[in-house]
Amino acid sequence: MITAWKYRELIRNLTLVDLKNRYQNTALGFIWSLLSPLLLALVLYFVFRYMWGQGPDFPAYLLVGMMAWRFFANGTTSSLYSIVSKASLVTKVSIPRKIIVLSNVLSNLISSLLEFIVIIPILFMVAGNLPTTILLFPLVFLIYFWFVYGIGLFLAALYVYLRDLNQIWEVLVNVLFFLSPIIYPLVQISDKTMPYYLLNPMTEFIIIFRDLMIYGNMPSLYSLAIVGAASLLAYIIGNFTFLKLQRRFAEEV
Amino acid sequence: MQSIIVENISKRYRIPHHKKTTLFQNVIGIIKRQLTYEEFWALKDVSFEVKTGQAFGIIGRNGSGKSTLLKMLARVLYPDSGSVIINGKVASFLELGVGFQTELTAQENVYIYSSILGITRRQTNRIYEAILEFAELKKFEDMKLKNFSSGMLMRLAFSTAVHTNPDIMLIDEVLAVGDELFQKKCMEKIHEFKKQDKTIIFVSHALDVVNQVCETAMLIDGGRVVSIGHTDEVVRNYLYMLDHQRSTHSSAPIAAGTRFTDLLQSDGNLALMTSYQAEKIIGVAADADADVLCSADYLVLSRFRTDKTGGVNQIRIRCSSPGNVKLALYTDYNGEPGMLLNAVQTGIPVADGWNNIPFPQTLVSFGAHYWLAFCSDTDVVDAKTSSGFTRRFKQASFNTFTFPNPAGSGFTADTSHYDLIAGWG
Repeated sequence: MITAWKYRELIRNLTLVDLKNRYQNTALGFIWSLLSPLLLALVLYFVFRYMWGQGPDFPAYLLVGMMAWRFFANGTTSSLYSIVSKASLVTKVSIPRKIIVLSNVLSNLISSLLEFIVIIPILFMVAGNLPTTILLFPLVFLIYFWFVYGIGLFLAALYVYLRDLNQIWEVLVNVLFFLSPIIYPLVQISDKTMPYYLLNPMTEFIIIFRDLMIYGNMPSLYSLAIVGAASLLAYIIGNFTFLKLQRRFAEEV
Repeated sequence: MQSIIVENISKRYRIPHHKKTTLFQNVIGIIKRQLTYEEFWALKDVSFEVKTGQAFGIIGRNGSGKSTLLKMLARVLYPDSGSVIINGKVASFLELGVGFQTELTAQENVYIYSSILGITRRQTNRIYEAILEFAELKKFEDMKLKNFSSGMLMRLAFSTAVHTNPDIMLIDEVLAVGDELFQKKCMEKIHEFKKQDKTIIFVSHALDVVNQVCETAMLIDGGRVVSIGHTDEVVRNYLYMLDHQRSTHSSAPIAAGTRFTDLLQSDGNLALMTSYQAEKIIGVAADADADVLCSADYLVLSRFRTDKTGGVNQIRIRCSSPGNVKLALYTDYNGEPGMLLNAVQTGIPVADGWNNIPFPQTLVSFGAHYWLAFCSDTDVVDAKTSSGFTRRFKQASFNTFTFPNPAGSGFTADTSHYDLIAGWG
């Protein structure tokens, strides 16, 4: 934490440059980047709206699930590449290398927050009002951030040594998408498989986000404890792996 | 006060017999039991200290471990054992780069680099103009670095590194690219640095520059320290080592009257280069009309040996008409130009007949050594790489000239249209 503060200027610069590149230096770039998830949401809406007896809030359900998912998918995937693609920061200068992953996840965090801000009016239109529980959103999002950051550290470090990890991870992300309640309601899961299904921490995150932003339910302490523990575990494993492997980064990238 | 304390560091590389870069290959490797590797010690028990304000040179042959060592000082590589203690802010200039990302613009890179060294945005704003001005790249500030030439990149990198006001500078081969004018600017900056009592670690093959910049130097070979001490002495050790490492060649003196063609081997190399041994200088000479001699841009002149006290005062060049010539002195490496030991001297005025050109004083101190001298009257600038010389040298068809006889009377060329080569000093 202290080093992060010491290098705040660098973190800020790297994050901003990441964002600028993602949006090609224009505000329009952000709108373009929103187009694909919104269109996908639209298609999914038309395909699945009558399946599984979805209620009238299905558009909101779908949007919150997808936006939450996007931070996970984009954040981890771009973290995976972050060290290798910024090789010169590894081989030529000495910085705490976690900063490279951190600023990458931060720039994804900012993108994701912007996306959530964009869908809030849509949520409002669909539901007629916004629950006050939405104020808890930043807290849960912070926990979510640590979860993604931990996995990002793990992937970024391993990818330096295992260059087919990107393909493996892509498949895993796709599988995980369908193992999380994004396009279908939770009631579709049979009671027998439910305990296993809930092992996926993404499920709990998405349920909490929907509770906060659509239904106005306070998350139970139990589910907060679950996501907190998942984030802590992800961070500890990611951090440990990263620190262990980073000693030979400069030789391998 | 020590800026750098290095204690017994060793670095081992593992070179696997089957390189595995993917999970798939790793799994296959475990199944097939292809887990063997070879060990290679890039550095072994290296220790030294550098005082604050000192300029410290590191010399050695290619692959001796210089770059690995520098990367450890830059804290990019970690030693397998031993410790590196560094007091102060380090700006590293490794293999012509300082951590720039080619996908970003010059401006973005400068700001990122400054923040790496812990400089705030406001301070960077202040030095930004100076950086681009020194690099002469103001026009290109919004261009992505991938579109930069290697010279531009190097200029920007060097300029950024020196303007961020580090306490310690690690400089690896700063003179490898960039035109002569910029090299001069770099050297001025380095001298300015020294005056400000900053610590410099300087790695270069240009031994006269090392000698000029650094009071103390270290010679490493095969990952071990060979000697540390006054630069003069260390450079002399180095040259001695080079001489010694290739001493397998026989070196019988050449009989007077030998012709160049007699010395040409079938591969175009000159046998002379490995066997001729004269204790005193032989002057060398070029024809003022480069086309005449073997239509090469550079004329190969001579190999000669300086004795322990230097021994050589001058190089002699004979010309058929007045003009300007350039002269380069190389160490002799198995009959091929080894290292360019001082900058190519250009624009040396010559008159008709024999001209005496002083042997550079900086090189005299290197003591007994073999040299190759090249002289040309053309304006070809690629004098920085010896390959240009070597190639032309090999292509050159040496017609028959008589080799000078040791009595010092000079010699005559036996074809009429060039006048040539060499006399005894």
